[in-house]
Amino acid sequence: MKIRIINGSQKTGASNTGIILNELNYFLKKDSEIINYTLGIKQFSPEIYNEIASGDIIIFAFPLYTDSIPSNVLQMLIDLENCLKKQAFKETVIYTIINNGFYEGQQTHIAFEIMENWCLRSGTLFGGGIGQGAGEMIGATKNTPLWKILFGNLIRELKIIAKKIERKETFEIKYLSPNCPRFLWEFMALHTFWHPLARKNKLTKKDILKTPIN
Amino acid sequence: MNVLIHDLENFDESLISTDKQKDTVIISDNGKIHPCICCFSCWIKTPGKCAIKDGYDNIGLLHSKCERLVIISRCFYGSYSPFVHNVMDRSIPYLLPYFETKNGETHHQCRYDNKPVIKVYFYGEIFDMEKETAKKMVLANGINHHAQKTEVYFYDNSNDIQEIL
Repeated sequence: MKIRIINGSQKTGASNTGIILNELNYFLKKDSEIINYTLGIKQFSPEIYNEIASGDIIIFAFPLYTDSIPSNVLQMLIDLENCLKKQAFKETVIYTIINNGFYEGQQTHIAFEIMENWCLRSGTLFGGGIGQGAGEMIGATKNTPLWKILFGNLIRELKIIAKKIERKETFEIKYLSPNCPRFLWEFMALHTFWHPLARKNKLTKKDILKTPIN
Repeated sequence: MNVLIHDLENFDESLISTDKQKDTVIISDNGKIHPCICCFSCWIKTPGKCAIKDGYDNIGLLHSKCERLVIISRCFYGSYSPFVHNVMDRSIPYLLPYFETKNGETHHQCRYDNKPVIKVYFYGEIFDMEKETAKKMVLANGINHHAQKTEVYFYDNSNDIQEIL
């Protein structure tokens, strides 16, 4: 089975999307031909598009931008659509993993609709996916004991879908939030993430709230 | 003030009435826009200001000043075109890293008090499902951008779009 995995994060370094895909890769059987790609802020070459289109299974993973798909991933989908249309009599199954910075994984549902619309246009089959909330917390907790507590449900779900993906099974989109109440997530986001990052730049809360007028 | 974001190759100025032309900032594709890389400088390094200096670093500021945000975009799968999407992605300096809850969902607080009207004109050969998705996306954009209201229109051809402002 040829599996193509595309990390659509626009971040230049390590990404939350990359962490999720590392977990997924760990659960996929090694007898499949798996190729991982990182899109970044540039587009793929025609050779890479052809290589991706040759997959039996394509897995897209990206962060939510403006309730939708990041602009670089959108451009890639437009280009890949043309490649896939050239392939007659081949059923490619598409899986998608979307993370967003808000608590609720459910907020990725419009981006999933866009992916389903893309599948119709490109002649592929939408297989399902995971919509994950608290995306920024993934990277922030990955190397701490909190990782398995907050994202244990994500790890379990990735293990489940890895098996389904290898069988080209379709499944319902699973929307996940971190394993903690929303108020606790918000408290941690502010006091263990945004405020410490701002303090490193010698900024206070008052500075964060500035309203530049030019 | 009005802000118009469009992806048209040949923009017809008559789409904007003469009395509104001076008060409208037009954002179009000069081929040099850089994607938002989620560096969050606009939140925790230079609050309200985008770190990517490519001529599109004032999008958040323009959002803060406009009464009407008008978008003309080819529709791709129920979303904007990559250029228009890129411009919208670059608007996060307009928001704060702080949260608020609306209708049971988390959203970012707004840095400014502005509440623009967002009008979106989609064009192209658009399937009904894509139209439904696009309506949902613009509504969600309105919530996240603290809009007063949103309006969505669909056209088969960009030439059919009549006066927008």
